[in-house]
Amino acid sequence: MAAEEGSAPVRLWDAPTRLVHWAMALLIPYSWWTATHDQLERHRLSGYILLGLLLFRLIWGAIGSGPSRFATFVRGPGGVVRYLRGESGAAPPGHNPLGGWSVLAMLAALAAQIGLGLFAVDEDGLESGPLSYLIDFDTARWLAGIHHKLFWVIVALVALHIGAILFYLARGRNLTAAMVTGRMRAGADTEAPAMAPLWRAALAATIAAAIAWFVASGLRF
Amino acid sequence: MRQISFAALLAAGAILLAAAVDPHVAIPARQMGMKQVGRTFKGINDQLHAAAPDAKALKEGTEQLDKLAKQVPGWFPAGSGPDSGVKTSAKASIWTEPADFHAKAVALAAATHALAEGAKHSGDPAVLTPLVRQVGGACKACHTTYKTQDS
Repeated sequence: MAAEEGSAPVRLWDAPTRLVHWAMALLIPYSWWTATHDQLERHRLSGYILLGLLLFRLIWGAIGSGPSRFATFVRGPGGVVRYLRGESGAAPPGHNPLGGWSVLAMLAALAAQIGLGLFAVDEDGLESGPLSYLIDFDTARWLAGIHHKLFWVIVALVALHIGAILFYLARGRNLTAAMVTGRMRAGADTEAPAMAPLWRAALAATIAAAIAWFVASGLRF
Repeated sequence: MRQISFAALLAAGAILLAAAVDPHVAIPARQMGMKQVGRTFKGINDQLHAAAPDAKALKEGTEQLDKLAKQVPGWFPAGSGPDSGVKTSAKASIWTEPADFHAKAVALAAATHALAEGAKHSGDPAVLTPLVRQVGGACKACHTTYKTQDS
């Protein structure tokens, strides 16, 4: 993916993908801050929004615009090895095979973190996730311990993600700008990625919000 | 369920009496007691969040919590602090500032008593939730000052 000079900008990241990305980038640190400052009401709310965003992103990974789909950017181990050896040849714009796994790892860690938080309870038995009533105190405390530790796994994955962005920035490619504007320069022969219509995003958002609401209400209507 | 937890409570009490100030006994007994407080309080909170709270369970749970809260000062015998060599989250200031520590313990017992009294007359979450918050605040007030925060 060379050829920046004289190339035309193509639409890469659609608005829903960018919105979800930046909302997560804000809410993950916010979740940490509220958890460490005894603001568990806000911590729960932040978690519920993140759950909705995550669910949306998973649906969007199936029915969203081309570059946002898992089928576009998730490659098997063979694909990753070929990419690392520089044998992949021309690739569509967007996540490279290694970056695709970075995205999956971050989404998986976030999913696990939200799942643990739903069942966690604090040491006093006062503050708790909306599903903690389904399990006993000792199990909920155990899950809360993992919830604390897993945060640092997320920090490590995000550090790797930012490290990769800085690596490309040093080589003259600004990936952050593409995530802000949604556009990036590509070779003239690059096919413009297919963009999903807005109604599909509305549908995915409605489904994601409904599931997140149901879970936040403790699986009760 | 309640019988088991009561047996655990008796065991914790018996261990504590036998312990005098052996930190190898006093500290695990304290941790057991505090876990029992957490279990009991979670049971109360689960009821208050339930679609149809069980008034009898709330009455029993809040009574048990009140009993446990009154034992809290006894769980901190001199010699069971961080200098004992046994791992504990209890800070040394518990024993260097006993007046404030005991004032906080009294505040906790007052809050659990008010909650138990409230649950005698009502199983309504609208009535009990503010009282539960008072208890939670009393837990937190002491933990913020006198407990080291592990991750």
